[in-house]
This record gives sequence, C-alpha cells and structure tokens, in this order.
Amino acid sequence: MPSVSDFEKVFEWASKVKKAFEDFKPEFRSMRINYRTNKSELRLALYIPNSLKRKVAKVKIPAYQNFVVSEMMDESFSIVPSAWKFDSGNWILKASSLPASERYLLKLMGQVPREVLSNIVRIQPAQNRDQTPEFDRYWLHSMITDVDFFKPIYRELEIDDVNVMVRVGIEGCFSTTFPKELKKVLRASQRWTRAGHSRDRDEIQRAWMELRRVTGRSKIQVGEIIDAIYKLTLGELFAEHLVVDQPYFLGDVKREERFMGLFPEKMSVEACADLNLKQPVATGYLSFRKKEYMRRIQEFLEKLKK
Amino acid sequence: MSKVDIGGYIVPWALPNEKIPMHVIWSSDVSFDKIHVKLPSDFKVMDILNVNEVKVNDSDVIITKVKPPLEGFPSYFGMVMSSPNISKELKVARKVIIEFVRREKIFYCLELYARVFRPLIETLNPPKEMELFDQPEKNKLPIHLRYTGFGDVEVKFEAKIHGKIVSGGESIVYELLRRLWLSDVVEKTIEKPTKTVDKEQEKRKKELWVDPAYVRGIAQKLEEKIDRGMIPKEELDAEAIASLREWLSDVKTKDRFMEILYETTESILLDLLVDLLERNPTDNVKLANTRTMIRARITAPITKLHITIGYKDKIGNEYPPIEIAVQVRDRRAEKGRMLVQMPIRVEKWESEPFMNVEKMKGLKED
Repeated sequence: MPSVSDFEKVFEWASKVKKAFEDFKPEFRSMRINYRTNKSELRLALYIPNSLKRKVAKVKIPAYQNFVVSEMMDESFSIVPSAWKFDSGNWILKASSLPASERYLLKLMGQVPREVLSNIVRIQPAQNRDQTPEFDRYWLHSMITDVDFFKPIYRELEIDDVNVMVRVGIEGCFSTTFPKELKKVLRASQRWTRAGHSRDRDEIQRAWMELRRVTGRSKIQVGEIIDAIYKLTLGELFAEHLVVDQPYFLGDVKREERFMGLFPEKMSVEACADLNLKQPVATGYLSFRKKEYMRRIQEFLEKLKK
Repeated sequence: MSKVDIGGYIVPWALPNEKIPMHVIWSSDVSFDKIHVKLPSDFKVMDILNVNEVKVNDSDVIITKVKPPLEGFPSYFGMVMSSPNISKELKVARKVIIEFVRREKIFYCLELYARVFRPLIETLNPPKEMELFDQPEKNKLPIHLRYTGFGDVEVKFEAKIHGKIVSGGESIVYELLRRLWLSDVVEKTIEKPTKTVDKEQEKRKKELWVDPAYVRGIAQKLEEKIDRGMIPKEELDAEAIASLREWLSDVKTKDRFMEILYETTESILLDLLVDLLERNPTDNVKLANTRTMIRARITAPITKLHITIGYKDKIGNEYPPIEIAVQVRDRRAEKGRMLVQMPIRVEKWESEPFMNVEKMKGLKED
C-alpha cells in the first residue's frame, strides 16, 4: 500500500504549483502516470480573466522536483505558443503571450519514483505456464492498490503501460526440436575437441573417425547453428509467436540479459495494460504459440542442412 | 437474495506457496455493512488491497470499509493469499467464500476456487542391482522416470555409499578451468591432429562468434572459483592438482587467462550446445547438472548404493525425493583397485504433464 510519504514524493511539486496559482482558481483535471517510463502528466485548469492578467506576470515557479511545463492550451484547445520560459531554475509565464481567453489548461510533467509506482500498482504474472500441445499460457493480474491515494489530486486518473513482466521459457523448444543428426554432429564434434586435449592417441583417432562419419552426411557448422539460435531469439521474431488478451497489449520482447548458458533460457516479455478508476484491475493471458515457434526452429535448422 | 452487480476473479492456477491474487468488484449502488471472506483453514493471507477497515482472524477476513470510489465508479477490494502446504493430490480446488452482509443478513454470496497444482516424479521398475565390469562402458544403471502433474521441475541426482556422497555434477565451469590449464601447460606435449583437421578447425573458428559479455561472465565465474580455492580434483592426481594450483596463481592476474579462454571458444560453444540439448530431457524437466557422475572406490564384493532423485518446482518448492537402493556386485578382475566412474543416466523419461489446467475439471474440492 502507498504511504503518506509516497504521496509527497509524487505530488509535492504538484501541490506547490497549484498554490502558486491560487489566485486563478486552479483545479487538477486529470493525471496520467506512465508505469514504464516513470513519467507523470498532470493537467491543471486555470481561470485567468482579463482583470487578473497583470497578476499572471508575477507568476514564477521554481522547478520543484524537476517538473516541466510542457504545454498550455486556451479555451478553444489551441496551444498557446511560447507562453512559458525556463530561466535560472524557474518557470515564468509571459502574460503578454496570452490570447483573449479566460480559461486555460496547463500540462505539467514530473517523475514518479519507481518504488512509489510499485506501491501504487500490484502486478503479477503466473510463475508457471499452463500448456497445451499448441501453446504455453501465463495468467496476468494487475490492480491499483489504493484509489484513495490519488484522491486529493485527481478527477481523472490513468496509469498507462502497467507492464507485467513474463519470463517465457524457450530452452525446451530448442532441445526437443533439434534433429537427431544435428545432435550427433554436435556430440561428435565435442568428443573430437575433448580428445584433442587428452593424451589418448587412440581416442583422438576414434573421435576423428566418428566426426568424419557423421559430418559425411551433414555438413553443418557449429557457428551456423549458433547464428540460427541467435536469430530465433531476436525479440522482433519471437514477438510474432505471442498473443495477449485485451486489455493487455504486447510491450518489449527481448532475450533475458543475464543468461548463464550460451542461449537464453527465457525471453522477457512485457504484457502491458492501462489502468484507471473505471478499470482498476486488469486480468488476461499471455500465450506463446510454442508449436508454431518450434516449426520455425525446424525450418531454420532444415535450411542449415541443405 | 436480490440481484446485484458483483463480480469476482481469482487466478486460474497456482503452485503451492505461489501468491494467489483475487479481487471482487461491484457497482457503486451496492451497499453493505461488511464483507466476510472465508478462506480454506490452511491458507495464508498475504495482502489485502484497497480497504479502509479490515480484521483478519486466521482464515476469516472481515472487511467493513473499502476505499470509497468517485461517484459512479466501481468499488473493489483485492486479496493475495497462498496455499503453504504441499498436498499429496496433484490437483486441488480450494473454496474461497465471499459473503456480502447487510443488517446481519447475507444478501450476496460468491464462491471462487483457488486451484493448486503440483508436479510428481516417479520411478518405473527401479533397478535393484547392478554389476561392475572391467570395461567401464559395460557398467550400467538403468533408471526410468515418469513425470506427471503440473509445473516445470529441476531434477538433481545424488548417490551415496555408507552415507557418504559419491556423486557430483560435471560443472561446465570446472571443465573449462581444467581445459584452460591443459591448453596452456600440457598441450605442447600432445601430438597435434592432422593438418587437414587443423585447417577445418581454423575455418570453423573464423565462423564462430560469441558474445564477449558471455566470455567475461565465464571468466568471472572461474576467477570466483579460484579465489575460493575450488579447483576440480576429479580425474586429476596430486601432482596435477599441485601443478594446476601453481598455474592458477601465476596466470590469475595475467592476460593469458583471457587469451586462452578466447582461443578455446569453439569447444566452449560446442559444450554449451550439447549441454543445452541434454539438460532438458522432456519439456517439463530440466536437470540441475547435465551429467552426474558416480566416483567411488568400491572395495567390497557387494556394496549398497543409495540414489536420491530430488526435484523442485519454479518457485523452489521441494517435493519428497525418490530413493533407490541398488546392490552393486563387483565382477572386476582386480576388485577395488580402480576408481569406479559411472554416469547416472536416465535411460527413459515418460512425460504426462497436465494440459490446459485452466479448463481442467475433476479437481478434488473441499
């Protein structure tokens, strides 16, 4: 659950900005947090009648927690160009640039610390897949942990790109798809290189004979096999074999960075959902079309045999 | 009961001890005095979300206030629980009851099922005895295993004689360390293969590519082992171990170490490929060590060998291991002289994993 200090970490700057505008009936309209990038976007409505425009010239707001004024719109939803300038760590509004409009919408951008985001939203994928001969499947569950947390600030709340990280196992796909003759070539090559380091001349001879026998039928190079595996574990290619249920959508797909073997045991797959107060919870599945992927591995390896 | 708009969800499958999230959501016009959540008696409550007032009494949870939503928006609460006991049943459905109470009356009741699954490995016709021959390739210990249930597992073999562990995994890192040493110290004394082969190997080497980060990782692991004084003692005599130690202290901080590592890249790649292919005997089973070797000096004509096959699932739940007791008869001409080296190999794996558990029926309920 998020705490009071979490709230301050996220919104302290926003409260200060609101206070700076207290003469102009400031009102927070919406808040958008991007879970993936840690960015928050607040929309602040202001009422600046002609009679108060002179007062605006005095508005100077320090860039608390490095917030940014990204956009200002008038009541016809036109962007007011060059309304704000950033000078010596302060945001300054130029009264002269304001058009003949009384109502304005200010877009402010800030950062939400990662640890606070983790408290605001609870995410969890299944630890273990469910399987069918066609695909492996993982359930996904994400939920806003405390709607009250946002109450002082929001009218509308969106938390975008809530990404549930799923680790999709692929090692089995390779080991069960590899053709027997390829395995033989590999074992024979392994025996040969090992024999090369031993003192046993007979074994060197036997290993060489075996290698010649198996490579006589198949001329595949180890490098080519490794190259094929690397290609097959490119995120873009792998993503073609993934399906996510709505409201989730597919985010980044990549090899696990810290794999211990030569090949990734798993692929890191982001399944993302947008949460808001109407839809505070998202459930669904990520499916990996394993049979189709294994067919693809086979196609790659078949090409090598030619 | 009146018709009200209340819905609940619980995730469709879990392993023992896995966090099981659920939530209940209802429209803003539903009013209640309390929500009574009754969990199975052995379940643990891990977290309760979006509530203002809640009392937890073991497996009973009473929620009197949830966080108020904005007008017109739905209300909800979330709960995270786990099933800490590992059942003998491979599939169980545990009932979670959610009662909405107003003026001491239950006006809505929801039943959700936490469906918990587990894996099982069994041995088929376990060997009772085996014979030792002078030719090592004749020494066989046929093990047949069967995997059923749900959840990918990692399997580890261990062999004991008189309570002492006589088996060990063939670590690829050890093997690399041994080979690096051999490349540098011993290679010059070995007759090189024919020139044709050398050319062939040279050609291959040029085609190979390995992620430098990976090689660095391997080198780092090797250095860690050296720092901790862990060097491979198997298959090496005292003289060789002393020589290896000396070499390690010499090269540890020198560029030669990395140089040899890169030179032997091809065989490293080969080993890893073979390792990858042999580590997963079935889709649901991964071996902790690709090869487990028994290394023992057997001196008695008949020796009892105990083999333990342990396994754990993805979240680390360890299941009761399989125990096999084998009588080893020594038929060698010179009994007890030579060290017995024999791999533990599973000759046959049968695999019958549960499929599509989300839709599976016939779970044992309570």
